Amino acid sequence: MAVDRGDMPRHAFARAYLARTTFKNWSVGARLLIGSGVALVAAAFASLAIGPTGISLFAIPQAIGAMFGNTDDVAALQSRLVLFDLRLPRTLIGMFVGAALAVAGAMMQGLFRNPLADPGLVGVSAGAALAAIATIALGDSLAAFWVNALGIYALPVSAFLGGIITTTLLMIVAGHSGQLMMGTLLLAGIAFGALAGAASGLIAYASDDRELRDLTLWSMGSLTGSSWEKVAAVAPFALIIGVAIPSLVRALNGLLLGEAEAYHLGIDVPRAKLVIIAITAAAVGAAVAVAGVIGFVGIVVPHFVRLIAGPDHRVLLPATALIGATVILAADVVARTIVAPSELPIGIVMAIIGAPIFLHLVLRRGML
Amino acid sequence: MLEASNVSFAIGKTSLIENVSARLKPGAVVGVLGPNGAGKSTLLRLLSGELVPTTGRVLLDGRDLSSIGSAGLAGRRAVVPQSTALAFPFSVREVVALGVSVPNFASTMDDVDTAVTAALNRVELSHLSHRRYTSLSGGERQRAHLARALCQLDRMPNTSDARFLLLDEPTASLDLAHQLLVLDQVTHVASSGVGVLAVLHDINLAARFCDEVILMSNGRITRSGAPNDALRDPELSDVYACRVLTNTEPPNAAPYVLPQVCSLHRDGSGAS
Repeated sequence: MAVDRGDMPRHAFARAYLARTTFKNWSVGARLLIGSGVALVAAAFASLAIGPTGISLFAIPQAIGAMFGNTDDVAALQSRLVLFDLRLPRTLIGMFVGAALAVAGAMMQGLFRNPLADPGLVGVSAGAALAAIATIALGDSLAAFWVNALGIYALPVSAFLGGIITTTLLMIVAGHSGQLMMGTLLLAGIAFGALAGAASGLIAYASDDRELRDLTLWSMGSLTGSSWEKVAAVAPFALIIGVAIPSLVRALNGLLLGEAEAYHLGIDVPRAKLVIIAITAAAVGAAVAVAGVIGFVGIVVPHFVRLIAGPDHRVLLPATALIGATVILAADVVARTIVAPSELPIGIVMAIIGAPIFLHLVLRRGML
Repeated sequence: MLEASNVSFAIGKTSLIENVSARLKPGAVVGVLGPNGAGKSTLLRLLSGELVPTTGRVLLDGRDLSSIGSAGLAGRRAVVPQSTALAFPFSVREVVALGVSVPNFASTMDDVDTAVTAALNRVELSHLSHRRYTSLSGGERQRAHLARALCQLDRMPNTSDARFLLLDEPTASLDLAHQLLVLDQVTHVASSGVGVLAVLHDINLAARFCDEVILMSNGRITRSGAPNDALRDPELSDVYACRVLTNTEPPNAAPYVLPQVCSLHRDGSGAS
């Protein structure tokens, strides 16, 4: 059906045009997924195109030429370096970190049936951070063998192990004859988080100035130092998480009604809980390992999606991943341009953007 | 057939149910009655497989429930819980559709839509289908969960196997008309061959709608049988620690029970 523009006012024409397309008949979830997909592509291009060197996407052909051809052109070599060895891995890492943290938050909130649950809350982030901070501070002395053995992988592997160890400890403390006591888990998680934070503080206190600066930057979160090695280090995690998530959707939806109801609906509840916790630890550990501690993504993004499309995990998890990735890319663009040529830690940018949005969501909703 | 044979259930040293046997046959409605803390819900949770008996066995067609697995059980029985809090606001429709979201239930989107719409109609909730579940009243929530269970029964893959519906106080927060509506739906489900067990507090409704009642107190079965056999004094007055009047005329009609103000007639021995 064609729409005749005729004498229609512009807004009426726009409305009629939209009504004509099938877009209007799509569900809110489908529209949200498409919208956030488009936003992510835009953010990825922005992340590739914007930076203090002023090299834009127009330099791509030149950079590709420099990659395959043998050129002495300094500008082409520089374009290649900036676009493919600095910005592209940074963009990929940013997408992974944002998606992983946001999805981890959404899964924990579903599992605990608590809108405030977040990997930061149950101490998984703090455990991962402590392990990484210890590796940085003790890399020249006690942990030298570890750093020598693993090289550039020392930090990611440490943080991941820290996340897994924290989660395992939590499960031992909160486990009770095969059942996981969610209340105990949350409270024990807060205690572990505080302990890990104190231990990190002690290490920072004992560090020299250079280490301290590293630690501070890192504990505030940063995508600085993204490299293809880091991309390779998180790729297996991304793959495992991506494969596991679709199988968790039904369990997470059922668990929103309660564990007994989930069981009545045919879900193997103990197994589902274990898998959800393991996948969350993997996501958080890998994200903390490459980017440090970044807050708010895990709590703001899932809440935003629930407000628009409801709590159905079939939409919630993919939309949360897309929007989480978009948000981190956007925050990173701000972090590296606003005080160029220097950089702000992305954790600070996220807190400045995230805290007011979070407050707005809380007020608009009237409750969490 | 779903049956509990000589089951006991204890938490630590506290025994909640002792030596209870119950049997659900296809097409029959069994009502479980008794005072608070009598073990009615525990019996229901044992039959649903949610709890594993300390001693005794729960069998579905002769197989122990623990050997069937949650997905297999969900294809044979649906459960309407006493009350359910929802952490995040699903719409009523989405809650009902969860009844179809069971492993091994093959459904297309259209199937799901039809089943959900039919179930909502049956409990008279169609007008609220897009409302948030969290904004519903207690009675509306109960009906939403009944609709979810109806959906689940409706979509069970093997219609040749006997199906079962377990309801924990399905009429507790309902007004008079909806109590009748819900029990009407329950008997309708039973007439299609589903075996039903319902924990009830209203003795008269139980007498009117159940084929068999189980009277429980202190974790044991005091009496069971057809309503006009089982719902008689002195057991009723004993079990509820409260003098009740039961009609005896005509002899074959459903009994009608009228409680009297308890405190005036209670003897001093049990009171503290």
